[in-house]
Amino acid sequence: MGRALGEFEHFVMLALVCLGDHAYGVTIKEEIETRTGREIYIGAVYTALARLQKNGYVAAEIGEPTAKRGGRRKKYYRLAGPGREALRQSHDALQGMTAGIESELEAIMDGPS
Amino acid sequence: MSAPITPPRLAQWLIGVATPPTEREFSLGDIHEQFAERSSIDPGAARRWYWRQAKGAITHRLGGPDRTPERDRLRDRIANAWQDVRYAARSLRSSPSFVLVVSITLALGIGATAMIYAVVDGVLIRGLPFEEADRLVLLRNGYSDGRPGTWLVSFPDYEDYRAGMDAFAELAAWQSPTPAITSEGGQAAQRLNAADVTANLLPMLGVEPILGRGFLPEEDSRDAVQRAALLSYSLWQDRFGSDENVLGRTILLDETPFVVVGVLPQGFTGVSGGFILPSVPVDVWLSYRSSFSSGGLEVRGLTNVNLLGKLKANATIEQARSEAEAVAGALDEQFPEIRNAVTAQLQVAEEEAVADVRPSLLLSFGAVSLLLLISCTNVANLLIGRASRRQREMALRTALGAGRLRLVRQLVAESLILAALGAGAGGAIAAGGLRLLASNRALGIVQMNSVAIDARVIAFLFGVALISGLAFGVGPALFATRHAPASTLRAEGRALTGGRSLARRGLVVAQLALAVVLLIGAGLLARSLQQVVDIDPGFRPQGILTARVQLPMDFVSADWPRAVNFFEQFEERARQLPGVTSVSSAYQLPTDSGWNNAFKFDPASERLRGLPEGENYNARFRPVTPGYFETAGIPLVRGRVFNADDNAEGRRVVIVNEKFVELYFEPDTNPIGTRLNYGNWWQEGGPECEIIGVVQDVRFQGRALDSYQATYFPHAQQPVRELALMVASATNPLDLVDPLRAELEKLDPTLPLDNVALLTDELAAHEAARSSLAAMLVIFAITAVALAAIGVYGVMAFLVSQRRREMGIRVAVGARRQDVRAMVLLSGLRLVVVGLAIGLAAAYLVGGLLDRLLFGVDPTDISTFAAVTLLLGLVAIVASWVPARRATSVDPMESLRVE
Repeated sequence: MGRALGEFEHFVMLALVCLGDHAYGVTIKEEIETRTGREIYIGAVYTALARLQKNGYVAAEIGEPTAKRGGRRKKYYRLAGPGREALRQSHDALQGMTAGIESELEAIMDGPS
Repeated sequence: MSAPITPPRLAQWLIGVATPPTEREFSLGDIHEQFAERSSIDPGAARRWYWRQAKGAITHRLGGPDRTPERDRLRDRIANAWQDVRYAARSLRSSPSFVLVVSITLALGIGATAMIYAVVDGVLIRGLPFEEADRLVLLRNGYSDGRPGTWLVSFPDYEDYRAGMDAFAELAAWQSPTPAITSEGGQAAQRLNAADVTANLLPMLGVEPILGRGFLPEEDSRDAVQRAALLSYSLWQDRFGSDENVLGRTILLDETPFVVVGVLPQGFTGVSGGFILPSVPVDVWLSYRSSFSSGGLEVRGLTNVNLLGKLKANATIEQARSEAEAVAGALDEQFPEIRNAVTAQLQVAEEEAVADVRPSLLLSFGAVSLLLLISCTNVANLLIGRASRRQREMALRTALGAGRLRLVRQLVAESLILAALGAGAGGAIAAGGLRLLASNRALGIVQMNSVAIDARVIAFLFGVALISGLAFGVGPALFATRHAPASTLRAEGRALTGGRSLARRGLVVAQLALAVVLLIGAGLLARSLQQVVDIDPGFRPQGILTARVQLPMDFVSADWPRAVNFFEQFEERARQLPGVTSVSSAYQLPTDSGWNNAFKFDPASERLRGLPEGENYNARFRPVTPGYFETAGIPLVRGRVFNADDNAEGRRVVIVNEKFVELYFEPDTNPIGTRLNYGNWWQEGGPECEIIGVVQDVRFQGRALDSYQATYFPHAQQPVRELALMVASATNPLDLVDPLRAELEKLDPTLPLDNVALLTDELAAHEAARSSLAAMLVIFAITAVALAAIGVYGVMAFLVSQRRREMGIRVAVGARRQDVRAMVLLSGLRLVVVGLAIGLAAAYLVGGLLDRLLFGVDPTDISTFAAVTLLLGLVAIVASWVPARRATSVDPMESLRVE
């Protein structure tokens, strides 16, 4: 079993899930920004993606260079098998932790910070 | 479609650095894609957005949302270092006077070192500012029989060298710049420095016009349809207002039209024969074969061109030398009546360019290195003193759990902060010093103006600061944290100072020794300068204003009497000005080295000094107007001086100097009446002149150089188109400048008055290199003495404070104060004596290095050694006496109670 996902890695994996075939740097960044309301820098996305690829959680596919990208190629990402497993574990872990304390959590969410 | 918009380069690079290499391309591509979209809406905002991405990438890299153990460690380390620096800064803030003294001390050492390094780097390390400058070789004439001396080459010889040699990729020729007058376009007349160059010179040096083009081959030809000119950048700026339409314009130089075809880049000042880089920048370049020099293109006896060749990539200078010698040998055989035992002398241009300044530069660098060492020892000393005052603090912090490494790091951080302060202030000192050096053209370095504080010098500056910061910081830091906290706290810093005071004594001894070496070097140079200045130059320069007037070529070429008349009129007008006591003119001022003319002795001459008959001899060629010797104060030894009858119609006459007589005549011979034969290129078989007088020698090559044989002619008989006026005045000669200008303007409004100067200044200029070196070393030496005095004082004060209790007891039990004082003084003197002895020995050993730069002083000159010993000894005694006195003048009970 691979190591547990960090929070940001978790976000990136979840973004891959919802983007399907359209997942590349810009769309992943925008997905996380829209969903979390945080400003994300593309460098962070790529650092995480590089590590996830190294762990075998993410697979990539390289496209053709375009003028719009300054002659650079585009790289598409998708979840790989071990990645799905890691995502499932992380998700389980989070659910396990929140199970049974939903009402308390809700109170925290609604209350003063 | 509009042109593609490119993102900011630096930002792009930053993002690349901050992104993992495997993802770099895709990451940059993504950002580019978004940037392109944003650009189509608002390009400015898109650029700002791009910069934000870069900033985000960097901050993420340093501490992004995801954590790893390595990154945590790095973060901790940075935080710790930052904390050390902040702690060090806080602790320094509490002792501002200490910080001030240390930074000034360091700034002096670092600043002086950086200043000299800038010069060394600009002049010695970088070499000449030309393309492949290391392959440039000078070619001159020299004797094949080993007689010393070199001179220029004739243009026909140049063409033969060029055709007959294979080692050079290119061989170019040029004439040393000569002044030409321009007065076109209703602007004021201006004297320009014009150089005739062959078309291949500038391309060979890698100099490309920034505007227009270089010379075309057809322009560098006798049959050129138009005479072409290239302007220097500064002439283009100053006289033509950087107007790009200057191309194609015709300018008049000495009334001859030239068409401007190009402008050369800023900073290119041309080439000269002597030091490669000219001391006066060239203003305008003319193509050799079509300009003023074209008259001598076929005259093999007219040796007036400088040759500079560039070796082919695979050729050596030896190869070039043997080829050139072969060509020269063939020429000797072909033209025996013109060339006799003449061969080619080759010299690497870069070596020639720095040969004169290398010794003084290296000496200066040595001197500033000593100064830097002295300031470092001084700072180390001050830091040890501070460390011992903080012993309790260190012990306390150790006891509270601070590791020794941490303490050392904080102390080293303090020294690095001090070094950085010193480097900052030192940079200012270096910049100011350089400006001073450049304005005085110090050390005789012509490229001084191009020496600047650039990135390399700044890197050097901070490198030196870092090294000295570590060098003087680590030792004291180790000392300060050496002892076990408990014993220190118990002893209250009293008994544990043994090693530390030994180190401080050692530093003081080293410092004194270094100061002795520096002071002796400076003293020897100052004495050399004094010796030179004491030499009688052979004339009286006081109260004389000089200025040069040059007539245009066409003014004189047809009508020499007109030129003679013009100068006579100008002299007459000058004579009428108030305060003027006498006026005369000369082709060469008594301070101008000038050049030689060849002559033969009349075969009937008697009592010549065993000289072979019919040989060519040479002497300086110096046409003067009547009254020259009186105005310049050059005494007549025998015969008579020139008078008004020595004119164009009169008998041809010449006056020689004593050196001439000594060199060519048997002792005790009267040379008056001997006839000289001046055959030269423009007057084959030339005129015969009779020696009518002998005058005293003038050291016109500078006081440090021996006089040279000279021949003076009446200007009316040997007219030239350019004369320097000498006006002796009973009042301030500088008051005459404007009236003189006005008189010249009345005579001819198109002629400029140039090189206006006091003759005393011209004389001093010969010694400028020597005096600036001496002045610089004296300044360094005074600084060194001041630093050494601070060092001695600091150590004595420290030693005294260590022994205050002991002294208190001694006084309390009945010892006399002066005895205690003497005891303290004696312990200080021991250090002084040891330091002086080591320094004197070192100075004696390295003195030989100075030999080339000294004049009339032995490198082991006893009086300099004695004076330095005395001076430093006195300074050291005073520096140790003050703390000794202070310590013994307090009430003994006071000092006992302090503990």
